[in-house]
Amino acid sequence: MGKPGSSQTIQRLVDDYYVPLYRYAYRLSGSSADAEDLTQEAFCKAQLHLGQLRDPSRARPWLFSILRNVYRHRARADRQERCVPLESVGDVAEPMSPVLSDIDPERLQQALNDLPEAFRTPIILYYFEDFGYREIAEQMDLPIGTVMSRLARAKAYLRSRLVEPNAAALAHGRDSRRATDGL
Amino acid sequence: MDCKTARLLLDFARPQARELEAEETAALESHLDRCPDCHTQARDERQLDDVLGKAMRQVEVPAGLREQLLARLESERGDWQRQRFARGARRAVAAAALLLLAWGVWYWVSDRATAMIDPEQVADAVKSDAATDPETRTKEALKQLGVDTSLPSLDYHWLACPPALAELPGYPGRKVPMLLFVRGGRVARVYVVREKAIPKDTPDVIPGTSFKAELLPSVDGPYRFLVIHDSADLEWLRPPEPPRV
Repeated sequence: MGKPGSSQTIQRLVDDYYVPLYRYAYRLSGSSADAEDLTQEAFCKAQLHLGQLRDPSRARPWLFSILRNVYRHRARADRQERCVPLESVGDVAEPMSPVLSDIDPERLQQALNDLPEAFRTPIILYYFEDFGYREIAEQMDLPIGTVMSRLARAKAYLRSRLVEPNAAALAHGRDSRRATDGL
Repeated sequence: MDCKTARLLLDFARPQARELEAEETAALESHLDRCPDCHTQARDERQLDDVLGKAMRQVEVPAGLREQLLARLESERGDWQRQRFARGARRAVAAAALLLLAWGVWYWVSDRATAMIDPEQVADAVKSDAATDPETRTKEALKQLGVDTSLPSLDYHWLACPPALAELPGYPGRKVPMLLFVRGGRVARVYVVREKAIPKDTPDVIPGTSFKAELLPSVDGPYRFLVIHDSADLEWLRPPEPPRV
């Protein structure tokens, strides 16, 4: 057990990052109770290991990384992730609808919940905090090409679930033409 | 710029992430202005990014979360300090217990050693010791001090105590076996020294004003016996003549 960081430093981190961290946790876990727990645990770990943050300008990726580790640890322990099979996550570039209307955030969350974590995390980071490919690759300890591929497939999946007219049918596998066809 | 490159760069052309160099961004924008297909694809991608990004960020943060977080962190800090104190206290108690145990063991051992002395047993041992010929006893004691030699002809009944290592007077720190003889107020100290330590031309008797020094030989060992005494001679130390038959 390490020595906790100073209260002023950790309070500054809370002030600067608790909102994005909570939102990230919510999108990862899909529940506000879990998101609160995850955010608290992430900050507690950050407080305990504050000495590891040598460069304060890296606080945001550092905290996001801690939160993701906490989430993955819990998910492993719970083993309750229900996800669509990896094969169902398409990477086909679909033609777009001429005008896109707003997406219901709850429907988005349902679609995210069904994505495997390996695809959910990059898409959240990508849209949510405008993380670049390089930052996402660092966060997930993956080659940048893998991140790009996963993002493309996750975006195609979300588009098929949320944007296209036949999205509902695709989501439930009733349509003969799936986003994953050809994989 | 061709369409293939443009579509590759489109993935990186995001306003916030700044993953493209200014020149690449300018070249891409120029291509999009000239190419309707790529322009349409870029527009569609950006629309999708906009609606997904907007929906993604629509997460209501619970009121009071900040205060709740700070309170939990403060509590964790308190726990840490309490645990640290408890750990220190546990270590102190463990150290004290160890010290107590060590003292107890030492006390028990020393107590046992003290309690084991039986005067009768000591008296029996002395009696048994006294039954042995004093010259033989002295020889054995010298052996235990590392000196194996025959002894000069002296009356070892007058030995005041068993041989022991003693500092040679005039030679600080140099210890040699010494025999202390006492008889009727006369005292003689006999130091066992190596023969080669005595210069060859040293006389056997060195007279002095109050103390004399005499060198007695060893029959079979490389030793000499330096006798320091304050009597006229060493006749009082000579063994009695065997009765004439």
